[in-house]
Amino acid sequence: MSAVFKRELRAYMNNVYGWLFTAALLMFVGLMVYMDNLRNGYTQFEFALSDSQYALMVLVPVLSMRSMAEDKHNKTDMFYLSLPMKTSSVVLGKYFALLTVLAIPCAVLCVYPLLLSILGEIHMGMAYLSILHFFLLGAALLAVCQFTSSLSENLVVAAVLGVAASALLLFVPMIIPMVFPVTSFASFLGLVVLALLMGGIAFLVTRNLNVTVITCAVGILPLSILYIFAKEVFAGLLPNVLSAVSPFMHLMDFCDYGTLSIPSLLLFLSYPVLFVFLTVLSADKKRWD
Amino acid sequence: MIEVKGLTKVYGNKTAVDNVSFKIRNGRIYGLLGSNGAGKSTTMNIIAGCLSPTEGTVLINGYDICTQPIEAKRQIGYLPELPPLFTDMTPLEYLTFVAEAKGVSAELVDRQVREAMSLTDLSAVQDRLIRNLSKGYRQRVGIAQAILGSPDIVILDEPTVGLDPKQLTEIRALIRKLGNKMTVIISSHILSEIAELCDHVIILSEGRVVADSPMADLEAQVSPETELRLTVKGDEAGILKVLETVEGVGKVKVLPSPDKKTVKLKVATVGEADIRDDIFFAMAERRYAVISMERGEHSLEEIFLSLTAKGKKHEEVED
Repeated sequence: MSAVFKRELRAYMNNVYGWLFTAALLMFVGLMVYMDNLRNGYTQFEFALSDSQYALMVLVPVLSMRSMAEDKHNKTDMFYLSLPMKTSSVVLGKYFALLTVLAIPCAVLCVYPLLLSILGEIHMGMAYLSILHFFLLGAALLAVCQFTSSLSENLVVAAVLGVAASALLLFVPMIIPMVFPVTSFASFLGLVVLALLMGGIAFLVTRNLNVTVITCAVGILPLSILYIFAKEVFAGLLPNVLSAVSPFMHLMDFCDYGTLSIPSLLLFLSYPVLFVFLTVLSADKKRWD
Repeated sequence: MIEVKGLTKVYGNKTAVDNVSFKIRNGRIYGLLGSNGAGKSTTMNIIAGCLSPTEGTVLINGYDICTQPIEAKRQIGYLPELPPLFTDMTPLEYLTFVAEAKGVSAELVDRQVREAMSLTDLSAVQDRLIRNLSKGYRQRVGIAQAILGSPDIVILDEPTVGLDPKQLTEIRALIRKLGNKMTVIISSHILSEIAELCDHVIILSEGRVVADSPMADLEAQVSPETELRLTVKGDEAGILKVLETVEGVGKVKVLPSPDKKTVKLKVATVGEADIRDDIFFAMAERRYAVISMERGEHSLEEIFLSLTAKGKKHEEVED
């Protein structure tokens, strides 16, 4: 895994990708710091980071688009498959390289609260915890976008899929409570659609109809049974579920209300676990095609 | 040693490899020969662990590629048809990365990389970016990565495809050099290349093995019927009559002759027996002088076409 990690990190830092990502992210956060802290005079550094999550939504997919797609495009995925190494080690090596690139601007961000403290009072604990949350949000999105990168051999398609997935995670939980009826039936239908979406992901990963049907059934059957016996549970459930699973919402909760919770941290950590696993399945799929 | 047993790979409705079995013994250069789409690359990809078989097993030095992939892959080095190169690296960086990725211990990495570069004559270009190297040099880098990790067996999928004549000669010389150190399996659809490089040939046609023999015995795989070319002094009718009396004579074809005193003939023989003596003495008995008699060997192309046609016929009969 360390060989893959070193090779990938080298590829990012000897190329425009890593530095462009670092520069763009720092520039965007700098702009938000100027708007929120310097111009509007807020003393909360976390507001600037909360506003900067839009930058992550675009920059993370662009950074991670090459992670798996480039190997498919250049046929170097065959090389990795022929190595005496597990696919999970290859995927993890690549993921940790992405995390290291993300850690560079986040490390630079640690200087910002110190600089701001020269101009006024800054709550250092909140500021540094928000940087940690920001990094964890980035880590979750990197895992999602590494997975979308494994679905295509075209870098642009991989980036577009990544932006689309990130945008879904950011905007859907924001919009759904505003436009979606709070009735039990509406939530039930929405959750069924989510289960079908999971089935779609299972199909993309495995190209196996049985796995797809089983994934959908595992989601839909319990929902249907629960709906028949305890319909009232579903009232307003969909917006709550979407908010609970969106890492963006957890960053906003922390930055806007100072809510630090273990479930939030667990959610941030569960994204890399789930999506690295899916990426391994997707990368191994070529062997079974 | 590689033992392939009942290997089958099905893509949707297409059977790319159909119940293929063969053994690769140590210390030889093996050629996997077949026309495009015969199943060579699929077979090699399965042996290298890049593809999983639909059915069958591949044992590499006793390790099953499906159930013990890590141990099995340590025994082999693989160069796919398109060399898997990271073109943003130099050969030195790339080979160091490959050695580390193959789990070569840190103190041996540098030595193995130097040895691989020396064997493949890459030292002169070790610090140039791979993207700036010629196709021949890229192929050398591909071969160098395959031999890192000291594998017992090196698998090279069409290693000479797309090379110019000079590069072709160099890569063939390199493969011969590798053959002295380890077992080499190369695939190709170029007959002369396999004949020149390999000790043993496995011919695939439509996903099936149609021949598996040492290069020298390949001719025996085709019909034992051989062909004799005769020039005999005398009248055509009399000569044909004499030939009818010789046991083992098959079809006879009269060829155009430059003069009227001699008859040129193409005589097919039936069975494996050498009937040249019988023909000679039968002609001599009737006072026909045999001016020349040559035994025509099957050309490699004829052998290949005959074997692949046999494979197709076999398939049609089964259908």
